[in-house]
Amino acid sequence: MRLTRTVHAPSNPMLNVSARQARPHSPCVRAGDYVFVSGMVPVSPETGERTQGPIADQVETVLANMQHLLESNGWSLDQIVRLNITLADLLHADDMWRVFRKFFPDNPPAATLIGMQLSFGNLVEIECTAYVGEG
Amino acid sequence: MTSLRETILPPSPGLDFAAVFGHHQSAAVRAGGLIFCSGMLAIDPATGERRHGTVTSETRQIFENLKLLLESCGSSLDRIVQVHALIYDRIEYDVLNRVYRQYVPNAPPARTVWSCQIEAGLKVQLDVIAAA
Repeated sequence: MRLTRTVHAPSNPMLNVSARQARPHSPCVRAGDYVFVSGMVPVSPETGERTQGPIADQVETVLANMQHLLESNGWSLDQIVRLNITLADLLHADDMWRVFRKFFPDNPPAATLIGMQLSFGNLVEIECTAYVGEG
Repeated sequence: MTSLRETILPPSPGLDFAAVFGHHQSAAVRAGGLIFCSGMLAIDPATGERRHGTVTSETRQIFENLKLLLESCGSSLDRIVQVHALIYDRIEYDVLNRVYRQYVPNAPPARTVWSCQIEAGLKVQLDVIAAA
């Protein structure tokens, strides 16, 4: 079985961080029925700049941008099967989950939460894998 | 239902992690058209000796090993779909990017960089999924 491998981007070019900042990754890659999304940090859809505010705002921005990326390609948040959530400080976990719940009200995906230093002072980074196969 | 999961044999003696390090793991496993690789480290593909070095030298060695492993089972570096790039310290993020981009110049895989401790004092580890 040789799966087709394709690269996909968000409709909003401001949110194409790897293209704008010449980073060696793609926003997401599809192989067969799975989509692998690169780690996303809070970026303003208006300016493309980092938006570093309270953790709740940062999580909201990341998940809204993730929704935009998936929907730009005809997919949706409810197709996500797994998320890896990284927090710069695990004391922010409760605030993160509170926002997270709004985006995944029912049947949430599998998720792993880890704490580690992040680049550029970001408080959160989230990546995911989605299953976009038919039926 | 028979298993549709197939273990990939190590392409060279040094990449036989079970034999060299006694680790209970396969070099890679193929399932559903995807190849899930074990965490790749900077080791000599012939002898299994660890090649401690800089983020740059370790990343080069890892990609050489990945090339061997993936090509041995009909895949290749340009078929990689997802990478978790583990580095020992966030401060080397740009150093990683500089060498990393040379190996995936076009349509690079999805990637997340994590900074954490890596076994045996190595500086880089790549956790890779590729399309077969």
